[in-house]
Amino acid sequence: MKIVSGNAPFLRSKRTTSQIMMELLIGLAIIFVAAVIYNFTLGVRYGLKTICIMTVAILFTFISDIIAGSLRYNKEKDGKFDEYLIHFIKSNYSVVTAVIFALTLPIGTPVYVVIIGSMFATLVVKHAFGGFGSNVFNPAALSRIFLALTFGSQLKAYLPGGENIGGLVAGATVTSQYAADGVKFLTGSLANTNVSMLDLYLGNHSGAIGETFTLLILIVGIVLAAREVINWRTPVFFLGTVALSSVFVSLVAKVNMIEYLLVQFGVGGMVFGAVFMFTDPVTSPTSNYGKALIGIIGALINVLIRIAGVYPEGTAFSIAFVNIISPMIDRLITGRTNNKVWVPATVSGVMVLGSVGLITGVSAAKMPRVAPEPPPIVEPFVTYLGSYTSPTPSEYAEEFTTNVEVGLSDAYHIVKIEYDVIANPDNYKKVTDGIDAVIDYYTSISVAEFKALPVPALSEGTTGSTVVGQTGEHIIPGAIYSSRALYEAINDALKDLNVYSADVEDYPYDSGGYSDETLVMSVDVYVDTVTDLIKVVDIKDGASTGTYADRWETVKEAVLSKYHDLDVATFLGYTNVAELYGEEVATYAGVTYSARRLFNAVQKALEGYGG
Amino acid sequence: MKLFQTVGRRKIPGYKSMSLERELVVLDPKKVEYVYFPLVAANNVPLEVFVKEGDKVKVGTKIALKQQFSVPLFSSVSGTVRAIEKRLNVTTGRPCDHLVIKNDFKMTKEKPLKKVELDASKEDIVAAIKEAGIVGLGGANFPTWVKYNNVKDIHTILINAVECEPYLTTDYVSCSLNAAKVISGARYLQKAAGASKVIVAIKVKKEQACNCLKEAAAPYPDIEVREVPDRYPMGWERTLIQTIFKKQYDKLPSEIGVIVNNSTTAIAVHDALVEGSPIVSRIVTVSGNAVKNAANIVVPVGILAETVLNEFEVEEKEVVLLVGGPMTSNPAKDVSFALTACHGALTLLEKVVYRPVACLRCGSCTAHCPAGLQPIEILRAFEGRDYERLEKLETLRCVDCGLCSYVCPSKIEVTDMMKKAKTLLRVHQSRKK
Repeated sequence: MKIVSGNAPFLRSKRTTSQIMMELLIGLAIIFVAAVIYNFTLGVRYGLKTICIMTVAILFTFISDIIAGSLRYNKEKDGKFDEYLIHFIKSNYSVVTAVIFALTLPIGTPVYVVIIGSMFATLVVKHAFGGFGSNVFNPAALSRIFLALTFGSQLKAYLPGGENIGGLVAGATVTSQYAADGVKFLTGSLANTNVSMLDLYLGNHSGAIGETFTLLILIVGIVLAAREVINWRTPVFFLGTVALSSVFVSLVAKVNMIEYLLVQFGVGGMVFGAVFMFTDPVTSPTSNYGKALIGIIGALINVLIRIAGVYPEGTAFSIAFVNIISPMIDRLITGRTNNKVWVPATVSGVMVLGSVGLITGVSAAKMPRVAPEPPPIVEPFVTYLGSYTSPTPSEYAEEFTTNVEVGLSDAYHIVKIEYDVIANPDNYKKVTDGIDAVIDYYTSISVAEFKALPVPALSEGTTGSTVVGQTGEHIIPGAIYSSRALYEAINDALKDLNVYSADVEDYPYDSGGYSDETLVMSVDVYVDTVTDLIKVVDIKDGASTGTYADRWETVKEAVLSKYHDLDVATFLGYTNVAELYGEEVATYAGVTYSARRLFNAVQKALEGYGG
Repeated sequence: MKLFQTVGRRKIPGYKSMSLERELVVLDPKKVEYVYFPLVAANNVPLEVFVKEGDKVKVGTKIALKQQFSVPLFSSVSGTVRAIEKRLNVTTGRPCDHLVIKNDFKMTKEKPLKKVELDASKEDIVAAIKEAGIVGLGGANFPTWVKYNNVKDIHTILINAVECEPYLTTDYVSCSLNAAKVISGARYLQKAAGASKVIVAIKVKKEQACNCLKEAAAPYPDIEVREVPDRYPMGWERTLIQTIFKKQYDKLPSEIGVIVNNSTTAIAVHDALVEGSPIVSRIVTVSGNAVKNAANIVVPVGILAETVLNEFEVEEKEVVLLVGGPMTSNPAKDVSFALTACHGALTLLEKVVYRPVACLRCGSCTAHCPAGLQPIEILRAFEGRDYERLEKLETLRCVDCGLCSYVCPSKIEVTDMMKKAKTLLRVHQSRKK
């Protein structure tokens, strides 16, 4: 035996970096094969284009590696060039970058864009920062952002002539279509697209070639995590935070929670990013806690961009952001990792809650606001005009004339009042709130109630102040002259109307027999004293029993219209209900008692008219 | 699977069946011509020597004393003292003076040490352990009596029969053969500390030893045999205490009321206090993938590695000679060194060359460090000579268990760099003072 030396330990795990990369490649290859198969079902040229994109990406990554290796080659230190180059290419594992990058491109990407993108990814993002193990950003993610910014319009999800594939309108991706109407991801609906939920998860829709088959990506992700190729904490915390936020956003947006959750996961490149790009070990923090943290932060940024940002897809940007903060997270975590576990647990919990809260708040703010309904404009049934000239209060104001237009409903309730002048000079109108309150009051009462109001009294010689003891909602505080002017003008408008009221009590017919309790019907009858015509009958109370209330509503207008412009003398001459209602009494079937009671009430009200 | 903490352990291959296939070998005493005892301690302080060239000694004669903690050394053979020689001291890695004793093959025994009853006082037991020069036979070589000197509030003695290093089976075999002695020694240690119970920890896969121990412990209700999972480094104090008691401590297990001792040490305690004989021989595992007939062998203390290895067939390849297991031991330069009482194994492994690639920053080393450290960050700080950060990362808590290098997929020499980082930090700290 020959004794040699070495470094402890002398046992090593069989897991090597090459093996990890190889397993990652196998996982990606599975997804790629599924993508190729799907694209072939769309058409031969789709399938060929998929293979073309992948091949071009790998080829030009390889070329970029050669360029970088040649630039780095130092004759004295590195030995023979070809051996050096082979080792350089093998130990940089750029093919993984190439495959991931190719899978994030949509099918319609022109070949020259793929070339530029893959060379950018490898030369600029990877080698310029130091090669494998030293890159700050995920090359595939950053290159994808670069392409979105520079060649955004070229990244189409269809080949020329194939605008309607995947059931979508004009070849948009599902992501942009989902948000077609209004605020994206809040009010969008899968119904906008022609893609069903199952299609979403089985990759039967258009998007980037690698990101659509959500179910397969999840399965591959679980297998890779079990084999310790990727760390499970990042995707689990990422998807968990997205799920939690989606629950709250769906509550804010008032959409179906489960459906919203499933759509959030199925649409776009989020799951692909979570499994393959967030978990890139070179650009992640090294501690387990750090990996969980970037999952949470990445989810926050991603969902925020989806809800509030301009771009339809936020995964690449959130990956870039998280890559920036990874070294900072590493730097901040010191001490032993099995001490004070409550610290990372609390911080992560707070971050999750904070993210969820922020996202909920932003989505609430972004919800399309429904403008408040303008108040319905009520067209009055009839309008009366009136005017009043106010006496001159001494010293402070001058005489003025108020003209009003009083609009009444068909039950002779005041619904609209328009006035011109109720103070002179105008500065007395500074009590506008009070005026509005009085107008509101007037438009809520009936003519009969108006006529029952006491007249606002003026105290001798004092301007504006109210007589002590005088109250009423028709009095504007601090503006007695104006109150009086308004009142008198309305009074003038309604001067020709007289109100006659009556109550009639009887046992109503209810549910097949006469009820034991009496029902009181009270009516106001409005008569125009100039023409002696009944204008309107207003049933204040007791129109019908509860059982017949709906039926009464349907015939009410027909019954009451019988009384419009009915001559009083003629009416009082009727002795029989049928004389008023005529043959149409049959149509009042079901509420004949109400109609008869009404007749009796009006008769009673007008007793002694003209006397 | 831990969420944020380090996992702290890993299942590694054990290769234990290799050395258990054959019967325990007892070395023919005629083959041991000389025995050697290093006269310089690990802290480079020379030992006080009681014999000189030409003196006659018997088995069990006190020949030297380590100044620190007063640990006496005893002769393992009867014979004559020869001139002092310089030999490779495998603990320090450099040659030093060795006491040489020529074997007269008679194995005459010295009069036994003073025997101690179980009902003796604490102080008597501790004194007897000190007199017998008992040290930690699990490889640590720490004087046992110091652990029990003036201790308070100890409730459990933990007997460590875990033996988590791959290839090693010396504790396993000695537990299987001498289970009663383990329990007896444990009872003495229990008395010495005033503890209320004893837990004997052994790995789940070692049924034979486990059963023997359970049988021996049966009459004593306060002695429990506990099985622990088969993970590396379960035999490390901290990991074992974390697994059994679910508690952590800062520097010493006595902070939480526990004292840990190796099972072979417990056997030595029994031998010394009941039969009056100090440590004169032990079972050594000679194993490894370069050894064709791996086995356990009983050898006297002070035997040369050369003599031991002559009993075994070693492959004609480049091998690494480890004094101990493959995970923690440093390789020896050659076979000329002598085995002391705490060396329990010789492992010969075929040399494998690893070509490291760039650090993947996967974090596996951090996820598996049993001390909870972050080797990847420590390496970064080490390369940048950032002493403050090295201190903040608690670099000096590393115990060189080797798991970080084991799990690294890029085959980076993480443990080696941790050692360098520790050295750097210690030098820097001593310079600051």
